[in-house]
Amino acid sequence: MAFGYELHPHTADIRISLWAETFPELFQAAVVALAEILFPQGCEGRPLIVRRRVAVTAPDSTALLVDFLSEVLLYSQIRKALFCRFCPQSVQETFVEGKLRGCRVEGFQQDIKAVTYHEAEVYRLSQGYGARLIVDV
Amino acid sequence: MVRREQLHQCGPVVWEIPPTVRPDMRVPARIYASAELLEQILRDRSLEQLINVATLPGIQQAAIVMPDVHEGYGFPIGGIAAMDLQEGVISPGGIGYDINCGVRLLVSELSVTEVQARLEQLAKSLYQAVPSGVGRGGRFKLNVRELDKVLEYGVQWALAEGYGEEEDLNVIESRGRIPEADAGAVSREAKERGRDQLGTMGAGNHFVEVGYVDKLFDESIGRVLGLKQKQVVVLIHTGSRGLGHQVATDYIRIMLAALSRYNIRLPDRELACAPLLSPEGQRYFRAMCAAANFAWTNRQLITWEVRQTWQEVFGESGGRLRILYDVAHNIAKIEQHTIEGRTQRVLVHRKGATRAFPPGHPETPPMYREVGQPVLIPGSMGTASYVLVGAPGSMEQTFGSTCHGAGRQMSRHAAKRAVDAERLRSELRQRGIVVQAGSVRGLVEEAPIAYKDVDAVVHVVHTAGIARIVARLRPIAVIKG
Repeated sequence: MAFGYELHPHTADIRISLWAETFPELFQAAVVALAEILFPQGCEGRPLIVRRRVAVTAPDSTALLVDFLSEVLLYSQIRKALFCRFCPQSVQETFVEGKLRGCRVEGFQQDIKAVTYHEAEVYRLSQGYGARLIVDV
Repeated sequence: MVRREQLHQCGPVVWEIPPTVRPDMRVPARIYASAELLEQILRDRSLEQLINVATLPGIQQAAIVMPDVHEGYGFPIGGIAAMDLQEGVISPGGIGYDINCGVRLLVSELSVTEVQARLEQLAKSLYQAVPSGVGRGGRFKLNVRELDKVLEYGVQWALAEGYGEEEDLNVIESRGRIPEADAGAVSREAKERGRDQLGTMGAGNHFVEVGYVDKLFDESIGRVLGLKQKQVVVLIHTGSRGLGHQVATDYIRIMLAALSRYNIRLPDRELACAPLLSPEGQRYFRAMCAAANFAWTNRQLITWEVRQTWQEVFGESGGRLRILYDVAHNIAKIEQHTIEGRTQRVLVHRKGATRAFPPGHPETPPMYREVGQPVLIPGSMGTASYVLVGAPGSMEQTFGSTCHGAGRQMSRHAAKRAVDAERLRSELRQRGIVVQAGSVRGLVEEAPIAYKDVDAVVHVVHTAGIARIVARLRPIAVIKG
């Protein structure tokens, strides 16, 4: 696993920094970061019985990451599930497809209204990719 | 960052950034704040965001922020932007993700001394009756057909189903329904996200609060509003929940994809917008109106839950809970305003700003028309909230708008580091405030230290003549997720 994330405070929101060795792993990092905000205990001790295919197209890599994570948030809310794993199947600059896996939860600990485009950016690192996102809570 | 020397003072509490500060500004940026609040405002990037708003096509007169402004995403929170109907744009970011987040005030026939003995029981019962927290549904689970009726008929649907009294409609902004709403403009996903969330308050800064009238600043207006010293009241703060969040998400994406078609260039993608008269703009407007109707219905069903609980706890001796007023503070509405001597209809975006129509305005309910539309300003948890009325200056200066709350000044993370939950609970208890909260995290994130001083905020709008302070409310029980 060659990806990671950090959560930073923001006046009314939460700022997420992501990094990964490969572009597909950036999406894996994003899913794990979102799960950390929604339910910090994660899926530990809970069976990963919720599965969901996700496929998103967007005009550029930044919009792709925002729109992808918005889809993950939507499915989390609708299915009352915490998605803590993403298995990418096809990832290009403007297209991502893969499978989410997660567990059932009774509720979340943080109300994320949306993943915003505000100051969102996907960029190249010397070794891999980085991204910044702000979620509205 | 905007520097203090770039601002001109235009009045005791009014400041302006001229359009010469940045070449893409179409109008000035105007700030309502005391010198002390202005210092706080300059610490974050609210004013850069305000300047960005001043660049939007069709914006009229000025991009405006209230004293409770703080940095948001795209638009600052606490802002007002009025757009020309022909040339202007509509922006989901200018309304916010929580469409028609708003406040409703219920007034009781009981005094604080009459409630005190059963306060703990009341708080516990309210916590059980009004579902809170994140991702948890409520007791009202609607099928698609019923949900579409909610989206198009708003509070009228709730009354037809028996969740309220006919006279409730008279004291809700827009009578709880914007007729332009179209359920067909709301995505299946948005409906799915909100399907079981009616009658729930959610989490974050949303709450149900029991309080009392601590001080009447204007007794004659207080009399018209039916407010008395020591009278117990219930304040409800929530919005359109997941349905509204998804409507905003859906349409920001749609509008971003359409920007090039309309030759719109933006300094921040979160300002995504479309001409109001475009197919995208019209469809979003109708979806936003539907989400607003959903939010008013949500507060109506919570009112029903609160009324049921009140009766269970106090019986017949509890009397009735009357709605004093219900106002939206995240919305866009088509209204008539006078701009440079010409009366015209404009689209007023209010994101973290409250409508504040003055005495005599035709949209103010008849029973309040002589004093102005009630304005409800919730403070931070455990501090004061205020009842104001719109004043004539609001139409002249701020497109009939005023502030919406205390305004956040500290991140949730910083609040968690600075506040000890048990100490906070103990301090609130010592001040006679009972707390029923779903999570320790939710409690500390909303600690008073995280917010500006609400007294200072309402003092600014009163001084500016855009709203008039009527009463201060003190909390005695806070119920939140």
